[in-house]
Formats: sequence, structure tokens, C-alpha cells
Amino acid sequence: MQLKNIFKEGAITASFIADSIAKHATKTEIGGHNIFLGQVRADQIDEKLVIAIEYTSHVDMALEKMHEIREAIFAKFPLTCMHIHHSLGIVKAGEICLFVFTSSKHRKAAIDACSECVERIKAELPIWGKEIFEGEGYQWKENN
Amino acid sequence: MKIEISFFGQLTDKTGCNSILMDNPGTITEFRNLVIKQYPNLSNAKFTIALNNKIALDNEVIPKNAKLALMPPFSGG
Repeated sequence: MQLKNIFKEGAITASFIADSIAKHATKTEIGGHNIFLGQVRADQIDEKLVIAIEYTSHVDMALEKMHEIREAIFAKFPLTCMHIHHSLGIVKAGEICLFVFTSSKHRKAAIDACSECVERIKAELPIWGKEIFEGEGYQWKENN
Repeated sequence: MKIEISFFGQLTDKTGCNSILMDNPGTITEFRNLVIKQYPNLSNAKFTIALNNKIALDNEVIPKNAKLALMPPFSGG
């Protein structure tokens, strides 16, 4: 079975996102899109500023899990399509590290599926973020 | 036959490496005890164990050529 690769080295660019939107122009049965973009935040932690997050993953496991989540979401919501991209490696503060894009005939399915997908990605995919401080040092990110 | 163990996230700070080879200890519980004995820093770390890309149960038997992974809480997105 060929699993879809969701990972991309480095930040997800605005032009990549724009191209992804443009590709849907031919799918005229779609009536609503929903997009979630995760952006690296320049948190201040004990006087130290986060300048980037370095992402690593247990890639094989993450792709298997993502496949399972994708199947479950398609079974639950009447979606036309869903695209997911997550960064690996360094993503600087202000750059995009997660792009979830759902489309459906009517808006509600796209919105609800997107939201559920983002929550499941954060909770269930074996991905870790290392928050790199300005100057030197780091701390491991925690999701809440 | 050795089994392959990978460490992820903050656990690599505690082990000082990303992966090791180990003799198959039998079950996940035995493996957990053994790996903590080898890396005492892991004793206060929070982690789950994956066996061949699936979250493993404590009483699960580790098959031949297994790939195990020690994973701290996830923090993607």
C-alpha cells in the first residue's frame, strides 16, 4: 500500500498554499473549503525568545496513523478531498508548519472535518517539536 | 537476533543516541525494564512504546526482527 507522504522539509510556503487552492478550480462540485494553517509562534519563555521549531517524527508510524485518520474522517464527513502537509526540520517563527485543507459540497462538512483532523494530528501523530531559543539553548515543545 | 530500538524527541537527550540494537527480551514489559536499566535517566521520563509502528501493550510478545520505538508525548503542529 502506498501511503501519502504528508511531510515536507522546512516551512510550507504561501505560494505552495496558493497553488494548492488554485488546483481545486476544476473541481466544480466543491462549494466550500476550509483551511487550517499552523504557524510557529515566537514565544517568550523565561526571557528567552523562540526563533524556530525543529520538527522530527517517527515517519513510518506517522504516515500509517495519518492514513488511518484520513480513512476515518472520509467515513465520517462527506468530503470531496482533504490535503495535509506537515513540516520536518527547521521552521522559523512566523512561518507555516502545518497545512490542512478540506473541501466539500457544503461548508459544514469541510469546517468540521478540518477541525477534527487538526486535533487528531496534534494528539495522535508521532511528531516532536524542539523550540530553538535565540542565542543558544532549546526546550521540547508540549502540546496542550 | 537483535531488535532495533529508536528513541525520539526529548528521550534522545536522556539516552544520548537515536537508536540501539538489543537482544530480544521477550515482552514489552521486560523490554521496558531493561531499557530503563540501561538508561536510568529514562526512569522519570514519560513515554509510550511502539512495536512495528503500533502502540504496544505491556504483555505483548516481541516478534523476530521487531522495531521498537520509545516515544515521549507528541508535539506536532
